[in-house]
Amino acid sequence: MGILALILCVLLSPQLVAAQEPTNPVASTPSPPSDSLFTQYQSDYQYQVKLYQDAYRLYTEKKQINLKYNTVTTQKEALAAAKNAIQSRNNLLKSYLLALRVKLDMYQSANPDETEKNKITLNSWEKWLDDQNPIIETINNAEDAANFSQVFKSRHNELQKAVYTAIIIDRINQKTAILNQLTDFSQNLKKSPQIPSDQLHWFNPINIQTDLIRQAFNQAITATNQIQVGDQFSNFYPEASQQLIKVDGYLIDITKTLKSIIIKFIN
Amino acid sequence: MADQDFQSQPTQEQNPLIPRGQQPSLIIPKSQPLPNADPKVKLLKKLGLIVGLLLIVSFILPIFLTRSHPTASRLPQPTIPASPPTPFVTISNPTSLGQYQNFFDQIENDIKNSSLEFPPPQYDPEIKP
Repeated sequence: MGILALILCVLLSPQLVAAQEPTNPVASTPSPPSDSLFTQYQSDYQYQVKLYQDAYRLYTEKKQINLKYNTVTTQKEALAAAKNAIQSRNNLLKSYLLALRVKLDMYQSANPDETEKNKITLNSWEKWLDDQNPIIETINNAEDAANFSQVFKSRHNELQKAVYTAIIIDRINQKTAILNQLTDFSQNLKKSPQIPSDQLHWFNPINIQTDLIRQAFNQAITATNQIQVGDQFSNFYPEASQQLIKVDGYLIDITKTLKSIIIKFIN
Repeated sequence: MADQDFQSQPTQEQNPLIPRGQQPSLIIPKSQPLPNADPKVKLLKKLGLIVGLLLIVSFILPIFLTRSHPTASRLPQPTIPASPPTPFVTISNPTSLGQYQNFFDQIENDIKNSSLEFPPPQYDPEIKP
């Protein structure tokens, strides 16, 4: 009698009952990653934005006064304000790069290698900015400041490219994660016994839309590889962003296709 | 005189076999009127009947009626909805996504969030005094 009760308990255990239920397309979808760490670094970045704006405002004031009076005192004050603004700019950029790197972590699983490459690039820029801090301390006159400015400006385009590429990669990763969820859902839905095997052509549009998404991703990445010529940064972001807007439309189309299948065959 | 005439002219038909002097008298003397013959009493009776009926209708009848049906106070008080009810209640929605609704809501929300930008800061690359 006891053995019989034990067998019944085992057979009716929730896990086994769940395993016997029909395939749930949602069951395999991963939970979205937590963004609490990013929020924390984003807050720090916002704080650095304010500090930089204050420092830059003071720098422009002192610069104007020095241009007007050009005394020893106004020169010293202008130099001090410029050094402070450069320092604030460094902190601002570093806090932004750090937040962006943490943001890349959130969806790295969608494209691990490319994301890791971008994270390493961002980290190298953070180190470069760190290296600039002691140099900023050694600026003693207008000539030192001008030289420093020249070096920084020569790296500006590279830095911009690294930043905008990382933003594009992060957006691609987010959309890839969504596409992966929809693909998993679609694959599980195909296994549903409620959908007859001769009706699987209903899923065909999803394959087409997925191909279009991959094409748009490739075009966005191609845009980031645009060669920078001259002093002015050639911003590829609008072009790449346009491709990602197309992706949003294709993702919505996939959801509509899946909804139609559910309404027709499941519910 | 009038009384004599009244007695000598009985209303009932007389039995010819019985001598006239021994005929049973059915005449009721005027000095002994019938009970209840007073119109005031009749009126009072009628009034009593009406009052009794009114009492039955107003008090007693409801008690008997409410024994078989619960009173309003016994009934569960209907809860008044905060918002007016929808005019049409759909028992089954043919376009419902059922258990998958949350999944699609989440996906659509994620698509929107994936377009949220984290733009780089605007800064002056050429700071010099």
